Amino acid sequence: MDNDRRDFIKASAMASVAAVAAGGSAAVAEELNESTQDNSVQWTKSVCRFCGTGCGVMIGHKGDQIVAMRGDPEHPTTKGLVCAKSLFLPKIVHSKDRLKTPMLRKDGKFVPIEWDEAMDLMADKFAKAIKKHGPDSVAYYGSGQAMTEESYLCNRLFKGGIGTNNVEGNPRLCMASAVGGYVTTFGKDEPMGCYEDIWHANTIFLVGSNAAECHPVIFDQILAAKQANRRLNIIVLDPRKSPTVSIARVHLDPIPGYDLAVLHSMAYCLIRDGNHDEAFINKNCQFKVMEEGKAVKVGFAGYKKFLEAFTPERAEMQTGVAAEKIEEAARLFAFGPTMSIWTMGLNQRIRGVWANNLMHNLHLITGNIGKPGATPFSMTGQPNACGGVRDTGTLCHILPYGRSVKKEADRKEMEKLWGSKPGTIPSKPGLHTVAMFEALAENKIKAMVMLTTNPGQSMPNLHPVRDAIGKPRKDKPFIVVLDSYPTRTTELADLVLPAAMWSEKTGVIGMSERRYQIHPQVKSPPGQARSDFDIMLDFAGRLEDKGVVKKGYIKGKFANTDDMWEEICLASKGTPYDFMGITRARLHKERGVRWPCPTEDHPGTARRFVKGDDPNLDSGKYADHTLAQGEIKFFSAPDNRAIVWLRPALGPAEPVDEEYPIILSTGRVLEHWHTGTMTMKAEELKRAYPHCFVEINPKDAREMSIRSGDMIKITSRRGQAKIRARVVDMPRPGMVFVPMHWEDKDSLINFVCTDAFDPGSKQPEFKMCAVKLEKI
Amino acid sequence: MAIVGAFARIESNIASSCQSALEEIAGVSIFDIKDPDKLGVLVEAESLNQAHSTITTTIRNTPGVLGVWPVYVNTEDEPVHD
Repeated sequence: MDNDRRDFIKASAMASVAAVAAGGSAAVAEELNESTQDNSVQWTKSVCRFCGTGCGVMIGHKGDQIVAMRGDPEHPTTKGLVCAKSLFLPKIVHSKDRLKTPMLRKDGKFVPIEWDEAMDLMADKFAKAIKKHGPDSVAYYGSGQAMTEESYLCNRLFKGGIGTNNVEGNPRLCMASAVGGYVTTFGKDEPMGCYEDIWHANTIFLVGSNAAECHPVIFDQILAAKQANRRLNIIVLDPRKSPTVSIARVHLDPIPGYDLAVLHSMAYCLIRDGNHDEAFINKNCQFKVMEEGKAVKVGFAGYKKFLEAFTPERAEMQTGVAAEKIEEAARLFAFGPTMSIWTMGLNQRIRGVWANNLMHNLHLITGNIGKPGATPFSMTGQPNACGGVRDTGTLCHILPYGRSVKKEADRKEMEKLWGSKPGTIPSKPGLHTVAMFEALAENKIKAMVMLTTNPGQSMPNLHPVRDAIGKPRKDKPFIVVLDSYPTRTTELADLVLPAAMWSEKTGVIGMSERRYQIHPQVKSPPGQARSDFDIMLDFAGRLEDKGVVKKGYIKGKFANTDDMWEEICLASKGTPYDFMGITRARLHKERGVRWPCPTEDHPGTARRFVKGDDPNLDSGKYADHTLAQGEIKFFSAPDNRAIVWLRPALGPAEPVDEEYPIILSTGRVLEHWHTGTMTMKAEELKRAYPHCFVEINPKDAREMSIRSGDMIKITSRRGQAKIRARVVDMPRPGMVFVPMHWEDKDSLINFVCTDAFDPGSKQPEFKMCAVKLEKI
Repeated sequence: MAIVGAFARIESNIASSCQSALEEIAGVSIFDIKDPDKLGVLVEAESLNQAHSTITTTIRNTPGVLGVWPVYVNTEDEPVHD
């Protein structure tokens, strides 16, 4: 690089930093664009493809190569900030081990084959299974990383074309309990608040969230808000002293799995001290408890009586959290506006839905909802779990945009829109994720396609799952995997199809605050790789040709994701999600739009359920012209009242005992993401954490004579892992923590995790199981 | 050659000593971004790996640094894999 070029790049780097530091103002962004004017590099706006934050990025590309990345200072919420993972996307995209050719397993080895042969074989296997064993003999397992159009297409094909609800995806593993929480409390899924609430809050309650490492851009916004507002208090509820705890005024560290009593106890304190909002409760809430399988109304008095069992002193005995910390947390929570943010620590539990309900309870009883800075807010771990899977209904029990497979009217609506034969969509939910892999193990599923996900590493209780996918046996199901890289799942497949990556295809993603944004294609996929959309469109057409899907159901209707987006918008029309105004042109021009957004001139919605903000309250079936501006109405809840649930404070599926005396929890580190199939491709990120580790509290380490660096065997009732110890005062005593990113056999911690799941959300309990440790 | 632009969020009451400490780091230049809570950081290194290491180990562990976020990276001088 010559000196002029180097100076230019340095100036560009400094201008980018200045633009971000200035908060992404349009003037600074314009200045930045001028200062980085470089005809040899073309800059295109896009979105990061890692977590659910949805950071705006600018891709610098020369021909078919990405040569630079920077945050997008014009992005309205992330304002140019990104984390290290995002900036390594160019390296990850250009990784030398990208899959480039369809590969078929023959005699135990993969051999390259032509696309036509691969697609015909795939369609043939599925068609034969459907004809011989019926529609429920096939299944789809998708991803919160697939584009919205891709997930919608697959949902449409399997439910309305083939006629099976065996449609699942990895969001079942990360946020199904959040869905269950929103639906059971408010009647509809998805957060009602937005990232901007961070800047208005006086208290932020982080629960089961290590934002510092898992959502670093959101963490910076919290830091910045704290610097701007010295009165801002942070409460963190997490059994592990994660880096996020460093900014907490109060750290609540319950024994893993026993935190429900902490949340009830906070509610007890809030009401005892008169810090509840009686007027809000009287107008907007109802109280219910489940009795013998039925929801029974109890009233506010009944709720207060229920909470008497959760005095801070009693909660301390159940949870291990000091009573005075609970008191302090409740006092700070009352100092609103209060925003709660939670992630997998709350969701990946057998009590996940209940835990979500209890978070909503705190906001409802204090009226801390629907106002700037006051909201319960569930963050997602994947870039398109919200828009792509939750909203499109690409799970076994739901249909697009808040519809349910159990409701006849909803099925009819979708069958009409899709052009399905009436009665095609079954009324019974399909197999949820854990059940789907169990059915696969029993050969009840004969053919299955997995897309943009890695269940051979990411599923809990991994031994039976890996056997289900790959173990040779009589009548073994036919497994097709679409991916961009070789993974612990592709190695088990019968047919591997090379898929295009971020920046190699166009599609929409929807992140945690309901903002839909578009990923543009700026380069070609490598080799023969094709977009998942293109592959599944091809597959659908061949199923039509083989007579198992109605002729013309998909083939000829959609040429690309643009066409599909038009139908997706129509599917949302008239629902509370309505985003008819989020046109393709608008997505290319703007930095995303938050639904609902019924018309092209609508700015999008910052806060749902609020008159003057949520367009559902202005027109359509939920319109209410008696409300004052800013007034809240939970129009999707029964009787327009959100439900405060009285849930038992039960513990985990697998409490510790003499044989397995330690609680294992799993999570992530800053530099890596999920199963590491992408971030491990960047040497820089890999070297930051070359090996897996198990964090052990110094007290436990002393008792077991373990030192940092010792190799530890972690054993549960299901399996074992061998991982080096890191003795550190982070997990609470009696608990160990292992990140989930490494794919080598010894580090695959999911061999150890339990597949016990929440009975409501069917989300597995990744966050806690009983193990024993042995120094080897 | 790798060039990374980043900003460091700092404890403003010890901004001066924090800036001095950061300026001591090889390959690191500090520039003012008109915000008492932040410093602009430019990292020049032989490789992106080295630049990343400087950010994650040296800069992040400097007293007074609350966090460091890289916002621009240029890799055009490094060979891509294919």
